[in-house]
Amino acid sequence: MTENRGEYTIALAGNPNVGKSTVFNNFTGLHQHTGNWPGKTVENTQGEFVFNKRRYIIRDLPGTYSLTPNSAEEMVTSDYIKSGDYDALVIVVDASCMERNIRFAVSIIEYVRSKVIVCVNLIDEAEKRGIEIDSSKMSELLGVPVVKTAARSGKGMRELKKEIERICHEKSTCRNGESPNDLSELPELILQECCTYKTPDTDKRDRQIDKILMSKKFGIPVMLLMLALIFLITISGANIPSELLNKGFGILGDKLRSLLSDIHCTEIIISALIDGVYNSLTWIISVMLPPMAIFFPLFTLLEDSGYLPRIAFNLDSIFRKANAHGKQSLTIAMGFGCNACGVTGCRIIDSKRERLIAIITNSLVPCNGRFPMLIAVIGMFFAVNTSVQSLILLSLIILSVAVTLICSKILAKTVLKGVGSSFVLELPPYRRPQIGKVIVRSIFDRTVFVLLRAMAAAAPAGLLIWILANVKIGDNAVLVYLTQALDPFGRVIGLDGAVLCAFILGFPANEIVLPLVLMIYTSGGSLAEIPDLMQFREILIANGWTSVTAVCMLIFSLFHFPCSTTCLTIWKETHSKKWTALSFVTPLAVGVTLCFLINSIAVLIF
Amino acid sequence: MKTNTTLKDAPIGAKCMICRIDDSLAVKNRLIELGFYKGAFVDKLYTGAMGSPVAFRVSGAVIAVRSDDAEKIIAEM
Repeated sequence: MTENRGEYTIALAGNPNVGKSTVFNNFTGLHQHTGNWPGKTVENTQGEFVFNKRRYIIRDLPGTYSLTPNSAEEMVTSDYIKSGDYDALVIVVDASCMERNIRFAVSIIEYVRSKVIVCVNLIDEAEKRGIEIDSSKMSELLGVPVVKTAARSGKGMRELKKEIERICHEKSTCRNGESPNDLSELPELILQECCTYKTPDTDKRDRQIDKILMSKKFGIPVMLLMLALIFLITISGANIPSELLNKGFGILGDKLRSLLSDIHCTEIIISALIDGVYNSLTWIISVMLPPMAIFFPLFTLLEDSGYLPRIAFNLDSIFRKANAHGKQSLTIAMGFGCNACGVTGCRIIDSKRERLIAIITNSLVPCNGRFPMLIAVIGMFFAVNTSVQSLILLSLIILSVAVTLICSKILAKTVLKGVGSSFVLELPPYRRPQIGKVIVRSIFDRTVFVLLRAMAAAAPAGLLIWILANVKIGDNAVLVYLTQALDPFGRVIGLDGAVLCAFILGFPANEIVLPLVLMIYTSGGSLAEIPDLMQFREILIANGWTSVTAVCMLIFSLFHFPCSTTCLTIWKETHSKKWTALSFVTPLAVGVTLCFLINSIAVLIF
Repeated sequence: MKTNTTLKDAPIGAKCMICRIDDSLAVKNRLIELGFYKGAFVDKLYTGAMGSPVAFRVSGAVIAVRSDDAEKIIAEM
């Protein structure tokens, strides 16, 4: 892209997981999500920054191993690099993995020849490992500017900006240098001349950690233990703040109510605002905010450490049996955060068939919006003790992964026939997560984002329920007709019309299902304030809930239709009504079948 | 004494020099990009629970492939 009102376009290219997004974030001040595993960035991201009064547009390209594309996504990246449609191309390379990175850099330089800057990133990490890089020598050999950076701490970023400015401004930097004409020897030469390895085993510590985390005996148990620990910390840590928020919002609600009546609002408007909108909004905040504010940072820590690809390694043999792609465990892990993100993340899977399998089955694992619902039901009906609660939650997670595998296998044997394709998985070096930054970023970016989305869905849904409950046709409210119509089907699968109604109205966001259930049950009478869990339990039991209902509720929470955002994402990713419909029906069919079986067995026994 | 083996059969800890890859072109290209080119040295590091995947230190990084693919990489030990 040439000049556009004095703007320059620059692009970041490089192997996966070399810190392109970190460089991008440092430049733009944006908070593009980063993680220590290859393929984290799947979308072209664009941002801008100003340096010396000039505006620069910067594009963060998804990582690629070569200019010869192996998938549609890589094609886009490689075409863009080859097009030369930018003023500067920054090739980011990982200083601790020069061998492969430099080959890629040379292959780009061979193609593009000008406008290139090499950014040797993660230099701090490499130095810790005893690797020294001579950037001026490298620049001489490559014939392009070379800048050493540590984007995480900001080291070298100013120098990089200066080089970018120079290249954009001069527009004439061609490869000169004294490098041999035959570029094929260049990588070897650079490695010999510019990289010094002071210690023979630069990755000794990583291999020792791997021996535990990837051991045949302990790999999976350690993983389960870590997951259990995360749930335990989430559940026990969230209890008290949830209660406090709940109480606080109760008091605030009363104040609002009297305030509204002071300014002579009619009773009906007060009721719609407080019982409808306010109660469902504040429920969402008090139930969701604390667990998310704990879970997201913990999960991000795991992600940043480099552990996720190890999980994929440990579980691959199981995925292989299900004719699925080994990287599906990564998209499942993303699904725990948010199914819509998980679906987008499926782009890391090259084979179209396996990507579709991963997309269709992604909603079978519970996203963060469903965890609070699961935890609440477990807490009300099965266990008071937080350790037992987290164990039950862990079992549900294992169940959801098992169902994912079974459904993947069935899909691979029917509509998406084929055998598991080959795949390569890079196991990145372990990196110490920047704990402070992780906590701040995951709370502000992910938690607040998910919470706002839930609130945006909750307010209108709360109002809608209130209207349905208060607008009468004949003797009964509309809501009563609706729940009555759904009731017979609900009963067959161990639930009832109110729960199904809540799930349907909760289509925009799963988080609001439980509060909707509560509102439907209490809409006949008046609900002064949001009840705590034990009061909630009493309300459920009064409405005919048994432990069988609770089990069916847990199962149906795990397996029903994806939320509207996820459906939309699936449609965007697949461009196919057929696959979107299948993604909608598959989890629903699983949920209905399982709940029907559980309920039928329970009816036979009791 | 140099012996030829597949990377699947090479023992853990072995340093191997890649001779050739008998896989499909797409897989072969991908593996070469990652450092499994003729003459490159790789160290076999670990295998997963059922003998797959297999992880190698190659070009300064750690790369895991499924055993079906490791079987098609012929190396000198």
